[in-house]
Amino acid sequence: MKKLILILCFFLIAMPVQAGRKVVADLSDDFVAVSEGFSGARITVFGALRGASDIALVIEGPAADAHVRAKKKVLGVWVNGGATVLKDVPAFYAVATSRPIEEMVSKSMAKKYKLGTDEILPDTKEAKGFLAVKKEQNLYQYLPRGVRILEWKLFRVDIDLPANIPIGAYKAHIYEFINGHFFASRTSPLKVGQVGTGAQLNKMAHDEPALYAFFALVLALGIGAAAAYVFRKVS
Amino acid sequence: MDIYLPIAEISTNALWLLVLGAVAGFLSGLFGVGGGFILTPLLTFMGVPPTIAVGTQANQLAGTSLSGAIAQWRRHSIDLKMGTVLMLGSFVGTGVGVQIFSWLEQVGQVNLVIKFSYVLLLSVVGVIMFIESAPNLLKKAARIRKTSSKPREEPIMDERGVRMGWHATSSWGITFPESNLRLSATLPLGIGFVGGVLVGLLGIGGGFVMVPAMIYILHMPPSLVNGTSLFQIVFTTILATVLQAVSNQSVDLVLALILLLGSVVAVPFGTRLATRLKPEVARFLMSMIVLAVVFKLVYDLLVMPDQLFSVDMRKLI
Repeated sequence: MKKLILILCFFLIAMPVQAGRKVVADLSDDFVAVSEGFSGARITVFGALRGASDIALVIEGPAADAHVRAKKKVLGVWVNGGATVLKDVPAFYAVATSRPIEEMVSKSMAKKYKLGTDEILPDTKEAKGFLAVKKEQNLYQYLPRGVRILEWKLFRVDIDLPANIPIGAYKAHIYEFINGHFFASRTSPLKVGQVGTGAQLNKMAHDEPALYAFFALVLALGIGAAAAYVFRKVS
Repeated sequence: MDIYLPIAEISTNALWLLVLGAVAGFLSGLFGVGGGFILTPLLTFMGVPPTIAVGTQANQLAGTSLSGAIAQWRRHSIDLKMGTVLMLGSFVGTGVGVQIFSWLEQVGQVNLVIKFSYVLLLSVVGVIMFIESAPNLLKKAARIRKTSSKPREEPIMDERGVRMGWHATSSWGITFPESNLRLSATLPLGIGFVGGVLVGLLGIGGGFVMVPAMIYILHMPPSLVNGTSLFQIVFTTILATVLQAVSNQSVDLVLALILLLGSVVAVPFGTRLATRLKPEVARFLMSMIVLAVVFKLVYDLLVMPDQLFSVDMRKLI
């Protein structure tokens, strides 16, 4: 902890004050390893304020087109309606702030820096449905006051990535606002990737599907045959 | 204990998966069906995408049915020739089923079609089994000791004592010595085809449709039905696994192995119970389970869901 503060102080002094200022902060990890026993992970961001600032942290990643379908009643049965495509929306989006967004910045600023789920999605019925589903899965999160201001103008944010976090490339944006004005920002990459046997299986399933099928069958048939041998007296 | 499924890309509880596999295996041993018809809906309920559930079960069933088929082989209760003809029909059906599945996935109606097919199939099978088994049970309860009330139709035999079935004398006619049966090959081919479509489309072995069809339509000797059905399911699910892995990348090896482990351990317990149960009691219990699944599926279709929206961000193949 002391070491961290010393490093931060060094940054504060050494940092030239200019346009494109960077927030003094860092992510606890830039790679989230999804292994066999993965049940979610916590990303922590530590940093220092430069004044009476507000901090916002946005973690978002991998963007894709979302097909949203609303169920409707046809002949008494609930069926999926046609798909509405939401173009290029993040599969995961979390925003944590030191104060509720509307207290911190104006609506236009929130829009500009994509703070809040309302600012990254269109204002449609389907987008509301999409948001509800994502919130249910913990894949869209809003944590007002999720940024904790500690002693010596230090701040800390914890974001919990759920176990169902999509694999892919993420970005962590940290913004510093003073009196509702933009002061500094920092963007760090964050990668969520499978490691170990799981990663190899996934790669093999996509690169060498025939070999993968062979492998899967040898294992399944082997277990089946072994079981028939072991339980031969019972059945 | 959570485990991450590398292809489904979700984390689920491994113990629950073992229990699910065991339930399917127990039913498999007890009734000679794969238990897939219960597994697919439950896996989907646990958050496994339907695509992965269907693809993975083909792989899992290959192992489970091989284990069962070997046991049947030892008891000489497989009609190899019949199994081979069923298998040929089934191969074509599986290819068609996998294609239909891919197409349904693209139009976003996979879940609905799967549920509807289940409701249709399971209610027909469940009701037939119920009607067939319940009166026998009631009679037994009332201690009216009578052999089957309806006199059995006398089978038509040829000069060698082989039973003549449907279109036996047509050019497609084929004799199955082990079943002591001669009928048109189109019939087992057709039944195999339907079973194959179910494997490709619903990820089930199709046993719960094949077994009654072989008893009531083909009139095979009941002692050969389960073994022959399992024999052809082994090959059909092998083909389905390859097709699903190559065209949909939907076989999750880790999921398949966990289900398989639960299943193969539970199969012998089912088999052991099956030898103690009277056949009509077994069929009656089976019809109850089938009808319970139907009831749940119909309920889901008719009652307003909590979440009206569904989101799909997976890249469609």
